[in-house]
Amino acid sequence: MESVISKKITTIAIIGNPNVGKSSIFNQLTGLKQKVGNYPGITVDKTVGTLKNKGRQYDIIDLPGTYSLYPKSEDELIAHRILSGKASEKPDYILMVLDACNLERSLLLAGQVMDLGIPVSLVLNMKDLAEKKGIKINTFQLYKETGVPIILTDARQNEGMDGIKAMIFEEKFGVAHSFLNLKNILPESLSEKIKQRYHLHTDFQAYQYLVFASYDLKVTPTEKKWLLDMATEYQCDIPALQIAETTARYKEINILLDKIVTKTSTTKRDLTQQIDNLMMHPILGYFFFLGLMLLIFQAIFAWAEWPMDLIDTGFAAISGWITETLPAGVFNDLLAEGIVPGIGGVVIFIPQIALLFGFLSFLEDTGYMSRVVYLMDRVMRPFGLHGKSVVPLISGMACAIPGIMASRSISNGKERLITILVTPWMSCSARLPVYIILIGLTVPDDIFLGINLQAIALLSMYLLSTAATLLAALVLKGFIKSREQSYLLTDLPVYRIPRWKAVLLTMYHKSKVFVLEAGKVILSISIVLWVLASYGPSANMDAIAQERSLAMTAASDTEIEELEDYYSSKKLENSYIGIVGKTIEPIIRPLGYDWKIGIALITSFAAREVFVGTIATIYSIGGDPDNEMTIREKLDQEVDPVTGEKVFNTATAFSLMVFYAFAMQCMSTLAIVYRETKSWKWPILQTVFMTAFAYLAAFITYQIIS
Amino acid sequence: MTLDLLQVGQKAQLKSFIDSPLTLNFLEMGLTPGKNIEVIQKAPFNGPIALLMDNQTIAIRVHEAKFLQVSL
Repeated sequence: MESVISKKITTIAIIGNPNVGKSSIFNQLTGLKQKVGNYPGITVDKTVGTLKNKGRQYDIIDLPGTYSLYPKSEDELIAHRILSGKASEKPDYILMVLDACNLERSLLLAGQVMDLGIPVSLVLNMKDLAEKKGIKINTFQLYKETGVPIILTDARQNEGMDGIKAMIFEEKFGVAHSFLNLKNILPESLSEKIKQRYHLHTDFQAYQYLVFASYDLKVTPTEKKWLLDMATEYQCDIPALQIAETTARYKEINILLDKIVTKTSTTKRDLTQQIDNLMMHPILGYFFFLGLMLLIFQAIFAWAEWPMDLIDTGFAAISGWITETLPAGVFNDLLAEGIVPGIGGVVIFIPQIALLFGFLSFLEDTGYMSRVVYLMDRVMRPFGLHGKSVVPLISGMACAIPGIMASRSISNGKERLITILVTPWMSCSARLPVYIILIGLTVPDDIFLGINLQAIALLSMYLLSTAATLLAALVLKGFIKSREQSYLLTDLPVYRIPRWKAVLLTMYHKSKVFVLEAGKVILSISIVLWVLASYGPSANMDAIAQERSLAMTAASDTEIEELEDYYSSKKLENSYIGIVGKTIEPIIRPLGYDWKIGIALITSFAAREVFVGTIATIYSIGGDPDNEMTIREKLDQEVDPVTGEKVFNTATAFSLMVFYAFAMQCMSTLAIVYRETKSWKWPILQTVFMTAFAYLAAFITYQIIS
Repeated sequence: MTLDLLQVGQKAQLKSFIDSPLTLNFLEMGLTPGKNIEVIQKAPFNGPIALLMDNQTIAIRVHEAKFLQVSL
């Protein structure tokens, strides 16, 4: 019977100030586990979740947190676009989430939302916390004053969700009483003119048309000019109008608050303020931050080591098992030499990515990230960055993509652009396996002054990246011009105990996205590579095969193994990929790379992590198929056929690491920079500059060390 | 006097704004004339100021604090 019921989808937008628990409510309603934020800018995209009941579908849109309908940054613009119907159809209903602890500020946005004329329902969150702080709210009175349904929730405790669901399914949203009298703000005759021109009904709609003429508006330039001319004609300064509106709203809100709120003043400093005495302390706060960062990185390396070793040896064993068990042939080779090492190269990242994202989401969830913004603002400013740039930069240590997306909370265009351009230089987790393998090969596992030398080498790579990132920002600061004013005005939310479930879900979600997205690229490149490395122009390949069979029949038993090695590397050299590698060898020789490394450089242009997979594939093909060596052991045995020296010596390894630190080798980052800057200019400039810089830096490194 | 001149631990009442493009931002954050505020921390080297207002902590740069007129 259900199929008969109307298929129309009802859309509901959730809006509220930053940190009111909006995303928690969204997640609990839809079960769609997105990142739950505790600092501005976490809900960076239009996030939609679905709720179904009795054959009806409800699409719930999670809007970024905002203080008003007037956008100050890129992510706040999203809220404006959706509510005004500029991005898609206007939502049918709005769920307005209010912070019971700061009702005044919540009601400013609520008033603007209610005046839009879309049916609304108010969700009063954290009422228990407010009562602890001595704030008592008479919700019945609030309902009487506004005329819209009110639901009490405690999103963290999962309380009140059934109420919201019931209200949605019964579609009990209500159109509010008009909240604001515009008579003293907008001249009546001007309002009439605008209403007439655009066929509008209310003064508030006319007012919105006028105010948004200076923001992002879908009107044509002529309409925009007409509106702005009208404003000048009536001597309406638009910013002054907005200030008058906001002041008038607060007046109304305070009359309302007198009726619904009783406050018993509490003088004792609450827990958040006590914690902040340490976290935001002018000296101890920085030590705590630094200590925390060191602890996190130490933990990531220490905890990720054994699962990574396990994965590495596990995949080598699988390859060996396949070679022995399956019938010999092309399929066996493709599986054992192409696909399995390729997948292994992806899976090995999971422990570190999961841990890094786990820590980041933990810090966000507790509310500590906002304190980092406060602490680091003064440090970042000389580099042309903002305190809020710290969040993208730290996220960049996991992956540049979420980092660049988090830059949307930066309201100043110049600071945001610089943040986007330099974030890819932060040492992301994709570089880590490259570093780990190369350091493992060339830096001795010795203790120097009580610290492991390999750990020092790795830490140096991170410091190099961070220093280069800041210097690049400093240079860009001189080149990018802006008249916009930079400012910091941010809320520091109360500390909360992190929801472990949410942290674990973030870890799971991010690892899954990484494996699926990066895995697709890496796996297909691995297969293509294997084909290109196994086949070559038939004239050359046939000649080698003939020569080989001749030599084999003549050889003694002891010589066969040696000849086998010789011919398989000869075959690789003459394969398609070998030809490409050989072609670029003259360009990369000064950096200390041979043609095999050249192949890895080409393939890892799509994504850095492909490096390990590529060399795994290349050296599997060149080597003894029965041998279950790990990638690391294979590389260590690789010697230059001419000089007999190890290919991966210290100079080459460090030159490679420096190249990977600076080169733009990530298609996904390029795509995201294009999306965020809305032009190809920046991603192209970024690629050219980063790659040229990488070449130069690697060249210098190699020449100095060798 | 303006807010940036307050010492850590000092309490004051917000009086008015010195004209700037940020007035609307102040209002939207709830920094309205008549509010009682207390400076609870200052980041070193003239870094941001942390304010307590209505049980809420707000961070603001010295540059912005110069637009807020207060009385003790």
